[in-house]
Amino acid sequence: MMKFKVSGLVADLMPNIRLIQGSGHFMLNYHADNSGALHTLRLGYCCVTLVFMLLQYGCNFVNLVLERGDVNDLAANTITVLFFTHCITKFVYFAVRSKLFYRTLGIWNQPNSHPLFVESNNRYHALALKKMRRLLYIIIVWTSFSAIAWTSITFVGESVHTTKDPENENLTISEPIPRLLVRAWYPWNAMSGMPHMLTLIFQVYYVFFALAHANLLDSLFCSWLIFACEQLQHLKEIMKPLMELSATLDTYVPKSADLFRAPSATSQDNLIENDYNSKNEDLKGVYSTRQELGGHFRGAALQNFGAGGVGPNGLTKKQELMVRSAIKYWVERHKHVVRLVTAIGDAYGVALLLHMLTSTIMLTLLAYQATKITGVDKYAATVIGYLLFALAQVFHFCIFGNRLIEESSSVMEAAYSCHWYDGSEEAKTFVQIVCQQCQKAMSISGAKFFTISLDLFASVLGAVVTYFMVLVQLK
Amino acid sequence: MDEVHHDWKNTINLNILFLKVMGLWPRKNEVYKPGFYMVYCGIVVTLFVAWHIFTQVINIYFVGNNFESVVAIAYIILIEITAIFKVFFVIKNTKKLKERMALLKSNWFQKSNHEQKVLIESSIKFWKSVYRMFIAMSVSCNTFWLIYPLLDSSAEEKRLPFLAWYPYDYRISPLYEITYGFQVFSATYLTLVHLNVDNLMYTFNVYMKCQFDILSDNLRNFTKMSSDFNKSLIMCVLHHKRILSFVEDCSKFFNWIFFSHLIISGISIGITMFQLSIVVPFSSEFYSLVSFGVAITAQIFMYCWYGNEVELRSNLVSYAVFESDWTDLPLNVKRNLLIFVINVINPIKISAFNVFYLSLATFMTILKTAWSYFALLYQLSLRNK
Repeated sequence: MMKFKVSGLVADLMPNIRLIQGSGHFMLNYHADNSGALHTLRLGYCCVTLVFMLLQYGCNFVNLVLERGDVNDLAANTITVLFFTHCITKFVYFAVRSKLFYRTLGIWNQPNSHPLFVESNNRYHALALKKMRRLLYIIIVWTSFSAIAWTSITFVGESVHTTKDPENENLTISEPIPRLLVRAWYPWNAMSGMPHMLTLIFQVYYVFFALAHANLLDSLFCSWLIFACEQLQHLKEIMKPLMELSATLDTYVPKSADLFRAPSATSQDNLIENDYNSKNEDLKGVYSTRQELGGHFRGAALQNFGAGGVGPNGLTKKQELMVRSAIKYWVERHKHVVRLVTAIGDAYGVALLLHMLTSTIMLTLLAYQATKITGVDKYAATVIGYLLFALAQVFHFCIFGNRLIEESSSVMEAAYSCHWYDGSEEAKTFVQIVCQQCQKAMSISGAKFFTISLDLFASVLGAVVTYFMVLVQLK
Repeated sequence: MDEVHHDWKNTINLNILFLKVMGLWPRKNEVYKPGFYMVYCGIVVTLFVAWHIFTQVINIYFVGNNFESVVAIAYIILIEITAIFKVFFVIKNTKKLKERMALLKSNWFQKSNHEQKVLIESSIKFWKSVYRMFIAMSVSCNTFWLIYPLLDSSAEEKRLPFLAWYPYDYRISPLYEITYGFQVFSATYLTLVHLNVDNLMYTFNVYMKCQFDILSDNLRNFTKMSSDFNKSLIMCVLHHKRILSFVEDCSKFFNWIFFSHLIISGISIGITMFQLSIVVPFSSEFYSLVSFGVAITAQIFMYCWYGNEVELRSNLVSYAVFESDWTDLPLNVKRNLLIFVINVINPIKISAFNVFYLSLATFMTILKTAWSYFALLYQLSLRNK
């Protein structure tokens, strides 16, 4: 049997992947043993999960149609149906577009490396790993807590619904309905006894798995974004040593300026001794190389690159080659990150668009339901629970999308904040190109309709508040 | 120029004196060391801020059913919550604030030549008059608010300026005066907190704005400053970097304060307008509400105005580079210029967590939000009648 090796993102995200496979998503790669029998077994498991999800969803929908007479019931059932639409959509979406997910997961299989920057790379990789794990724990806890809360609240309060009194058309009486997590129509009578117990267990399974389907995919998306952000942090961090590497040496040791006869305008020697600017005396204390460069100060060490062979940039040949390789590493790594972010956008963009569409309708209806809250009771708790869950799902991916935008636009600031004016001409060209390229931030868009950022969350929140205020007035 | 310098120092020192009296500014360069000042600060803050707000919050529970009383108490509590944020963050960041203030005091005029000082003079004058106007507004607002129960009601019906719950019956004679006096002190303390912490923020913003002006002027003339163009350009670059780090530090302190202020202002202005619609016109309660509304609108306006100013001035920096005599410069200086310009093209926006920006557009949004809250509350109250 071939040894199963994982690398890159797949290795980092193995817990996520295993959980996703466990919950029944159609993720059939990444198994050590993919022989025919096991493969068919796993495929069968996924299909069975799909069938169960669709069946229950269908029962919910039938119930919606049957109870459409009463406005309150119609609103409540529509919200439930929309809530589970998220889960079904994500499940089917993944099954249909799993190729794109596999491609994104495989993008980081062969990253480049440079001996100078290995330590920084590993550090940020470890940081990304830690954050991804922490996110996964939070998602697991949140999903389990929601499922348990939903189950417990079923047993609180009366399990009734109001219908028209058959004797008197104008009155309504309350009629008991089965005590289940979600209101659904079943071809059997689930009021009490064995059928009720089995239906209850089936619904608990359904709710838990549906929540898991949606949340696990979202957390996969956010983990990818965490990884991309940490890579950008790595790139920002190595900008400074890169510039130092390419610095013309006479800024470090003013006395040996004659060794490096670079063109006069680039030489910055004697800045400390020059007192031409009497108005700005404080600069004497400000621009002192030792102070500014602190721990990275290497002083005379860089001078020992063989005598002579000074290039046009004022650097030795060996140093030039090293600078060029470092720049190449930086640029290739940045391009790799851009490829990763594009792949993430392609894989998950449409899912986010569908999520936002469903959420908008659901939140509008929830605002309407919220206007009917009269006190602290089961109804208020369920409405607020739905509201918080929906907003939390939107907040989850908005905050990571926002972080990506912030990190990618701060690459330019990192380039600016290092001592670019000390660098060689080649390094300065590099800084210029980086600044121009990174002016536009990298962002994930929902199929090009909108950008995922905290602005989106703020506008969703604002919209809910507005709908609520308008509906309260119309009541 | 020296009078401007002198006046400016006076205003800052007055501000700091107020903060010292309120227990928020430990002596010289100290942070909160255990000692008399810390105890004083602890007592003052707990008594005047925490206890005062706590009693009002409890009162909400007791008047739960009456919609208008709940609204009346709730919005005062909201403004006081911003005061809590301000006290908390000033105490938390005392050391850094002091460092920045010391930097400000030493650096403001040092970097500039004569023409630049003329440029800055008008900004400084404006800032001083803003401070004085605010003092006047808060004094009048405070006075009205604290006096209206005495003027409006008869002697038997003993009302307090702030509806709060006390564990004793405050209507009995000596207790009534003591409680009234306590509320006077609390209200004055809270107003002073708002006034001075806001002014601290305005000071930092005016400093940033003036630094941008000086930088723009330096950039316009950098070819004339010395024969070595590269050196003068690099000095401007370093100046710019220092300004950027100052801006970043300031936004770290003030993030939460801005955030809470922006959210709460809209709600408070809306509720104040609603209150105005239900009280008896032209009574002293009416005047107190008017002055309160004017004060909170002006407060949020100044925040947004200064944020806007900083944004505008930082925008002008890239134009200033273009206005200089750059066409004859050697190629390498032009390249440095290019890198500098790419980085200053985007204006510096002061924000709360990068989600809400302080600008005049935000101010308009806040006013619109306030109006919609007012409309909603008005409709609800009509319906309740």
